[in-house]
Amino acid sequence: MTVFLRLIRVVNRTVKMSQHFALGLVIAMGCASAIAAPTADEMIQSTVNQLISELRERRAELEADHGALYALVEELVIPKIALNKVSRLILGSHWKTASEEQRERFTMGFKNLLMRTYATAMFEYTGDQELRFGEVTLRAEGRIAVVPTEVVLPAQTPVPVDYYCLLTADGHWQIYDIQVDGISLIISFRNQYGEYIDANGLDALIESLEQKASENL
Amino acid sequence: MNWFSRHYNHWAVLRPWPLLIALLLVLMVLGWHARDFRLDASADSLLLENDEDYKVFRELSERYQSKSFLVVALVPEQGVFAASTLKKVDQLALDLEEVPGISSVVSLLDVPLLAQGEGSLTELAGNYRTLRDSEVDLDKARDELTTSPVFSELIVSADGRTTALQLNLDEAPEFEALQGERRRMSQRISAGKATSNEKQRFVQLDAQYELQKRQLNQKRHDTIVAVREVMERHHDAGSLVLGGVSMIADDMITFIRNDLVTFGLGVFVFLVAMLAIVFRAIRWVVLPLASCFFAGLSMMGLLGLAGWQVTVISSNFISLMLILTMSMNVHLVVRHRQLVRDHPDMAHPERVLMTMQKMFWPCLYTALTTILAFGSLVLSSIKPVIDFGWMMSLGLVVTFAVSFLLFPSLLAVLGPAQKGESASVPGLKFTATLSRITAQRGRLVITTSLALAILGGIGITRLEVENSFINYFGKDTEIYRGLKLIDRELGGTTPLDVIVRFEPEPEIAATDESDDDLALLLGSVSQGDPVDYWFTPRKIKTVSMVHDFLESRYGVGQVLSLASLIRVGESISKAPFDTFELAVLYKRMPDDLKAALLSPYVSIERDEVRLTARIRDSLPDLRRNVLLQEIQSGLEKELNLEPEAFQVSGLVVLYNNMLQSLFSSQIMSLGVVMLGIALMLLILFRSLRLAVIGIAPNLLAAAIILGVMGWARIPLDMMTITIASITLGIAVDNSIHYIYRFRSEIGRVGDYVETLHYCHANIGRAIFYTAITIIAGFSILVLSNFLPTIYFGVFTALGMAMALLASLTLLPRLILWLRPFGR
Repeated sequence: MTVFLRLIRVVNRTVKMSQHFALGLVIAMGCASAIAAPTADEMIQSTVNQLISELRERRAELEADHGALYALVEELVIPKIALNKVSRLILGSHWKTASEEQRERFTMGFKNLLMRTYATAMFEYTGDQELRFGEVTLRAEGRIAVVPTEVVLPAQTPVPVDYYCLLTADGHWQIYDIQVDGISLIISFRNQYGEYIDANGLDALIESLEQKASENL
Repeated sequence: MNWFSRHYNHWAVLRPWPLLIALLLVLMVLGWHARDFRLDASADSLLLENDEDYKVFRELSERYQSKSFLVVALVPEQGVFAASTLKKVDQLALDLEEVPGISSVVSLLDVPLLAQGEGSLTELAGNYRTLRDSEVDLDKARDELTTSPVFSELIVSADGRTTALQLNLDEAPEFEALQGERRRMSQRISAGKATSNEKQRFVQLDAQYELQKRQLNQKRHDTIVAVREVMERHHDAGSLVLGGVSMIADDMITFIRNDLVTFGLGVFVFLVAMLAIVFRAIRWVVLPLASCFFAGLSMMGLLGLAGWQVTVISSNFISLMLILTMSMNVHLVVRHRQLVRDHPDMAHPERVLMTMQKMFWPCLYTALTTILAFGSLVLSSIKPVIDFGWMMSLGLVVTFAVSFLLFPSLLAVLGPAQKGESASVPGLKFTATLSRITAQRGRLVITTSLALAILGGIGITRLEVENSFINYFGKDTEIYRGLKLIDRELGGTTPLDVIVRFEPEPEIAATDESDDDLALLLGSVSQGDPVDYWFTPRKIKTVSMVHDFLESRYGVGQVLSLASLIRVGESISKAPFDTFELAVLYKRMPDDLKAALLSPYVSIERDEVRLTARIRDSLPDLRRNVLLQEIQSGLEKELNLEPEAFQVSGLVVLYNNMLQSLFSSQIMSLGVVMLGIALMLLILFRSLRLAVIGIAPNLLAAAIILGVMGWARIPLDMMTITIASITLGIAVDNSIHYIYRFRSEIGRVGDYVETLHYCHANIGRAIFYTAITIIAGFSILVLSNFLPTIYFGVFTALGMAMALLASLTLLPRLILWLRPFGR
């Protein structure tokens, strides 16, 4: 029975990973619009403060009205994710064979799914969590930055969350992958959707994403 | 007198002391080794030899280690969720936890109630409730637990009236490692790949294994006894029964041991009484009993020496040894007494030698035919039946040797009987009546025999093999009640495993992307260990489909798999997991938790999952073979799994294989016995007609037994398939003795009918007393609580009775009809 109870705790912690992920996303995106061409870690660091302040000020409103929450995320976060790259990485070879309409619908469907699945997890933020930054690694002649962070929760092992950012042509950083404890978001979804498309086709996947997103409204 | 007879006469009759001392020494040595005589009731003692499914089963058992446990089921009067019951369960669990050998006890009081409590998931996980909390809503708890994917039919029955406490037993990692190494070594030896060093190592391993197995069995036995004591103290909590595979094996050993001791002793006492009544002289009681004792103890010593363990099937070998030795000795006594009567002036040693000479060939042939009968069991594919065949064949050699060495030497030492002792066996109306009926009502004998043969034949066509080991126990025994309650209310009994294999996940490489920019991004992403991404929704969906498919089959009880855990997890998170969450969940799970929760159901390195189900064995209309075929074809056709992508295994598969082999084993062993006996009779009497005459009454007896089993719907099982062959083997002794005597007397008497009356009055009586001894001896087995022993006793007794009647009616009638000794 002890192991079973521990399973519950692990599941609980897993759900919290999603919260960290969501927290990180919001933090990152909030910062990106606030500071002109900051480094990747500066972008994330400063966004934390902005996000926390948003949450403190509008918590009741956002909790009561998920539409407002999604609008906030849509406005602050989505432009800062390299959505096109993320979608292409996730679809892999299927992207090339997809029509323009399928590509657009998939990108939209995936964005909505992410937002609706993880946005509400932000409310788990209570002020007890701390975000620690490690040393940023630059790759590919400075085009890619890996920002290692740790989400520290009271009486728990810190959770490593790494942000993979891409420097755009206009000098801004955009996130294209987040890894929680070494688990890559794009690799996970690339595997999952690859299997699904092989079995059911791309249209079925897009419809399924659209359906899930509408269920979570 | 030839060389052999001269020496035999010298050493066994004229100068018997050296032989007696040698025999005593042999007895002492073998008696010493009888201490090593062991019983085995483990599941692998009841399986098919060289069963490919068994190899798979053992490999899976090693790969997916599962804990041994006992189950205490409680049906409380007040209802499971009554406050008073919960209090009693709590105390019972505490007391059981104190029992040595039990590592932990899980009761319904420990189960987290996830549907209760307010607030977020974080709050719920931090402050989960159980039935120990006073503010818990008991109705809600009942609804939750009786429908839980994990706990329903494990901790509480679906109707909420029965609860179970799971008593996890201390693990035995050293023994399990030893078992695995021994199995692998054994496979190498079987495949002819083992070096001489490995063979030596195997001998050492085997000895260590047996020792540790014995120690573990004893430890488990002590634990079970202590658990029963605790249950006894808590009898006011309601109806309490004990179950679990460990308990079944332990109780089986207890049953076998009791049967060995009780019925061995019972048969022994009965034989004393029979001998005393029939012969009314101490020497004719002591002499056969000395032979029986010698043969029985020697055999136990030989088994101990060879490390040959007695199983459920061979548990009656002592009774059988006693009966067979006794039977041979009765023939020796009757013949000797007849010689006393016919040759009153002959010297005692000469009479002893003559007795042995006259009885040598018939006894040798009866021993050989019986060896053939038991030896035929070796052709069965069921390991314990094969062992039983070898064991009894060896036993017959011991019986023959003892009868022709100990009996004459002891008789020679005892000297001639006193003058006043009656030399004849008591007169019998029974044999006289049978000889009259045979002589005067020949048509009645033949038509009755034919009618019985036809009825027996029809009965044989109604024979079936479906059986449950639950039915091996009397309905009023604790083991039966416990097994049935757990089987019906707590998810079933016999384990069934389904292994589902997946294709390995393709690794993602940066070169998968033709776009340089994307290849750069993908290449820069740390992909971690592919194992982290093993849990995908497709796999989970496949497992869930197989899980639901198994659950929907009639006869399948509780199913546990990765799907059960995922369902519990998703009920906590209130949404299905995506790949990312599954991967993080797996990654963040501590290793010991992975071992406890995932190891029984997932083998990532082999890309496979295991679903475990329990089959409801006590369902009378359960058809295991049909169920297994349905599962096999359903997984292929309904769930579209490739045949190589799954494997059905588990004890139920092995048990079913054994059941399905029963018909072929029965036909094979009976066929060999019939042919072998016919051939031996042909060699002995050098007459085809006599061979046919000799075998006919025994075939009739075998047909009647199997026919009665068919009509009575008593299924063939590992024990009952041995009955027909054994009956044939023992009963043919009657034919041999009768024909042998008839042939020797017909020349002297000159008339067939007169010879018939003479033989009935002489050898007929010996046959009658021997048969009645065997019948009554086997009938004692009816008092067992172990049903296979009861069936064995009843049907062997019935077979012997039929064979007795047929030997003294049909056989002489056929002699009168076919006149094999000329006009």
